[in-house]
Amino acid sequence: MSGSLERLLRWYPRAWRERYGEEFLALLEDELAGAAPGPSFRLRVALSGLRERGHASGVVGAATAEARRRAGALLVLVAWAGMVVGGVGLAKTAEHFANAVPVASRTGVQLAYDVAVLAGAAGTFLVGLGALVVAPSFVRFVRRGGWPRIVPALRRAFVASAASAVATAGLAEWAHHLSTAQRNGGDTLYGVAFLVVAVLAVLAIALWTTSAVTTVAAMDLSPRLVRVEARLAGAVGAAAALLTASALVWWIEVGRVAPWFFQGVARGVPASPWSAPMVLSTSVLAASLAVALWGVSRIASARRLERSLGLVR
Amino acid sequence: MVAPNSPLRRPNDPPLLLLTSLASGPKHGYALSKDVEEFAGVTLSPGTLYGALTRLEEQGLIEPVDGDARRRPYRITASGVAALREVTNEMRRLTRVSVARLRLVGGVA
Repeated sequence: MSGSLERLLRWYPRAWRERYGEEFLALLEDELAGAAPGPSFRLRVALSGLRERGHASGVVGAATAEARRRAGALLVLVAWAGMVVGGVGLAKTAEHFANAVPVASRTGVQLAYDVAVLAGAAGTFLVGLGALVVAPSFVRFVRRGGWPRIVPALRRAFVASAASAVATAGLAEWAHHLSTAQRNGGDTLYGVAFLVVAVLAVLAIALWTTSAVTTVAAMDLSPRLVRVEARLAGAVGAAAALLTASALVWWIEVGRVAPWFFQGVARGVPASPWSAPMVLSTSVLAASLAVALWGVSRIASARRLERSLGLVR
Repeated sequence: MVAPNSPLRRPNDPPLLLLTSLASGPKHGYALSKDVEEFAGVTLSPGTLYGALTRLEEQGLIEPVDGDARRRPYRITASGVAALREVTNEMRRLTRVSVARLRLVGGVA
């Protein structure tokens, strides 16, 4: 049983485990009094461990203003990775939508879509700018021997990206030999392969994001640099809000004037605007926006903390 | 005893309960858990208990006592005593007002 309790400790951050791990294990053993830990016991310990991780990273609870800004900016970065996934899903679902929309209704729908694309481009540019801003600190971090600390995460991300690239190339080659109907649900095997490629792409994005978070968390950043990153994160949060809102407007508008587009049926045929890819894409966008707003509120709380301490006016 | 589903629960903030428990002397995790259960009727899960212990130690309100590393006792610090006194005074003030106003409506406490 001790081994299974030790595994539960992995939910906690390493520094916490080193300081409190042994005594916490003893408490778990005393509480269980020889009984095996049940699912709800495990869940409660896991949730407490995650909460402790949140505290350690400054994502929740009392923390210094700088830790809040840093954690908030990293939350927005994670959220933006989700926006990329949701945005790509939206772009794929919206392919050739203009052909399905009556000419008289096209302007509003196109405007909503263009705003979503512009917001996506602006957010990606800001994330890239954020990476450029910390580039000199990253070089210093590597020169001071930080490389071995991030190699495992980078290696995983690289392998996932390579697998994703190979799978995408194979799928594209396959697609050339299929008709439009086969590519759009007519060929089950192709559909499964498409899903596998999509999962690999999402995995690669997730692993690169994890690498970025691991790296930034390990780097020394000056308070000024953290403030710059926090401001950029605020702007990325605004882009995320605009992207999500315009995607929703686009969906509602197309659903109103051309619902048949979402079901792949002929123009004028009554159809539901609810399609699984749209529900999935907008859910990912909305969930990512929630994370981004959490990050932005964390950054705002840093300002409130400094004001309450009289450090700023 | 206040009903468990009453909207007017007694203060059951884990850090406050732990400080109150430690005010009677150093205790390790399990002893703290049992003591809190006994005097407040509150069961703290191991995660909640150690989360609160971590915050209290970070704030310098409690400190570990040398001894068994697996069942390490903690004791309240001078800052912890001051913090507990402040909260207790605040609660006493609130209690006084509640009792006085209860008398006004005939529900003498």
